[in-house]
Amino acid sequence: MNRHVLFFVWRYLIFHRGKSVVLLLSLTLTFSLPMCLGHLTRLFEQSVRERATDSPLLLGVKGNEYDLTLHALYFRANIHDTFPVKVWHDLNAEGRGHAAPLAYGFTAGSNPIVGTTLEYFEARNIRVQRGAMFVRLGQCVVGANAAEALNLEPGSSLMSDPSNVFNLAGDYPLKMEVTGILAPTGSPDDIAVFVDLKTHWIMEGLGHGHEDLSLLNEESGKILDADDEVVTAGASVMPYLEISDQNQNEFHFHSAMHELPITALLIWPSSTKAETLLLGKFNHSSNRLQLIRPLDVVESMMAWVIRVKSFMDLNYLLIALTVFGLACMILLLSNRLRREEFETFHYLGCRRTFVSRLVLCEWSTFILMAILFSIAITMLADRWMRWVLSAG
Amino acid sequence: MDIRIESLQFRWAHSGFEFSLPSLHIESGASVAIVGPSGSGKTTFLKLLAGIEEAISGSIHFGPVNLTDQNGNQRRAIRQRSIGYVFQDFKLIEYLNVEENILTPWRLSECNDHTKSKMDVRVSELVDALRLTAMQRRPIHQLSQGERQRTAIARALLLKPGLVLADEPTGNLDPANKIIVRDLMLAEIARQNSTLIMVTHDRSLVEGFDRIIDFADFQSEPNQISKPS
Repeated sequence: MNRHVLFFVWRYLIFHRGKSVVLLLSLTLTFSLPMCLGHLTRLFEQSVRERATDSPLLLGVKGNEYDLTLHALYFRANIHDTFPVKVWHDLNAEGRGHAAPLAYGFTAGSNPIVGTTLEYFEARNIRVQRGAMFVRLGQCVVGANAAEALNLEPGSSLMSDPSNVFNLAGDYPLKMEVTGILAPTGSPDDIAVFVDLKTHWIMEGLGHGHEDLSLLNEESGKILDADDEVVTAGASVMPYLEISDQNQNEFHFHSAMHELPITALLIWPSSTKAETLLLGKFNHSSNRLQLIRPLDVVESMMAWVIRVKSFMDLNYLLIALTVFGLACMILLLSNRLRREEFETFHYLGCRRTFVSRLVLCEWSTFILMAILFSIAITMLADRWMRWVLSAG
Repeated sequence: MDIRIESLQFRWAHSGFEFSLPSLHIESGASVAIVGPSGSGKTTFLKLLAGIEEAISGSIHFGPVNLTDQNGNQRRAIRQRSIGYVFQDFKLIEYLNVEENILTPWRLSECNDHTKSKMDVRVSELVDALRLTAMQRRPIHQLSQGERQRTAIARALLLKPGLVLADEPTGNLDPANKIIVRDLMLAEIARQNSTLIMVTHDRSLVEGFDRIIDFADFQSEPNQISKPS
């Protein structure tokens, strides 16, 4: 291709800019759809696999293992079946690895509030970027994206979303103090608000704090009955909605601590043998718990995604063939319309191959530009997908 | 360019139209007007001279070179190097402006003797001579018929060809523009000492030409021109 061929191509495309743009758009669309889909599927698969690979074993109440995986790894599905936290204590005592309990069921500004312990942050290698880790009840650390979305900084306060506004006797929202913002991880942890397990149980109503009943007398109207052992208070004794240094000692639980519920337990076994023993221990028919490998669950989910993608690929292939057919027709019609122009070139003494080079160069320009645009679109889609994945 | 034609014969395969020319000699630098009724073979004659069509017998000599001995690619190279062609319907490229259209033969040329700067000077000369300066950058669709034909003439003269073939170049013009275009063409051809062969069916335009050949009169001068039967 010499510069004169490029000159004619450039002038032709500029003169017929409307036609050129339409053709370019249709080619770009044809290239970018399968490119984007393929890339996004790979990205999604990679991200989902990474998270599952980082979570070797997951314990939960028997039921849908997809729900359990989505719940514990991606903070997506709510699980109402719980098991006592003592399972975690027992597992720690066995010494077959380390584990992190999870309890998730509340949100703050639509971001999941995850009750856990410091083991979770160690196992996932999550560090605090600004501020500090929570140290007492009512404090929380916030994932990077959640902090940005809710405009939070260390020292800010954050209210949990009411779970049921019509149930006056139900859970009250809790005002939490943000002590730290977590470094971005590119995972669902970025959108979560993390609290200590006990704070989560307080949100659930399993623990609460209120004014000291021993200091109240019956004239206050808040005491229904009192003897030396038991004081029965009325509904007018309001629970604290915020835990502070002053009132934290007023918070207490009315049931045994080891019986309090968690929804999932992430386990990082110390060895393959430990993993096998754990699987043997939990996975038998009489146990109400199930121990799953999240990677197996994710792979079976991805098999469906890949199957759907293969149908989409077939669909795109048909679209590509249609567009190719249309492009050929456009080429033939365009050449027919330009017959006089090509004849003029011939009369002026140019080689017949000049016209072929001209047409080839025009279509190469279209295809090259369409590929470049498709790559740009795929890159934009890549950024969007990464944002979506980190935003959960 | 000295042109010598001997026993030239041509036949259109699809229509059976035949054209023959016993002998013709056109001296270098001459201006020749070819007149005659429609269908007398005027355009075919120009196409044979340009090497666009191939004769079935006879010879066309451009100086020492016999055009009829050349293959299609060689004839094309001769056309590109030595012949300027002005068409009745202008055949300008719609997506180029006036200057770009004039430069088209240079862009299509395989000869690298002409630099862009030389060509720019040549374009300036031509647009001045053909009164196109004001519309040099104008798109073709904004030009009048006369301006388009002057652009086509400038394009044919760009590389200073030895032979200029003009196929009814004034056919689409009004009477006033016909005279202007003819005079400009004759003046430019004389200035660069090229041979001009112009086909026209308008006898009022033949004034000023060195020689007039009437294809209708071939029977009266059988030694010079014959007409298809």
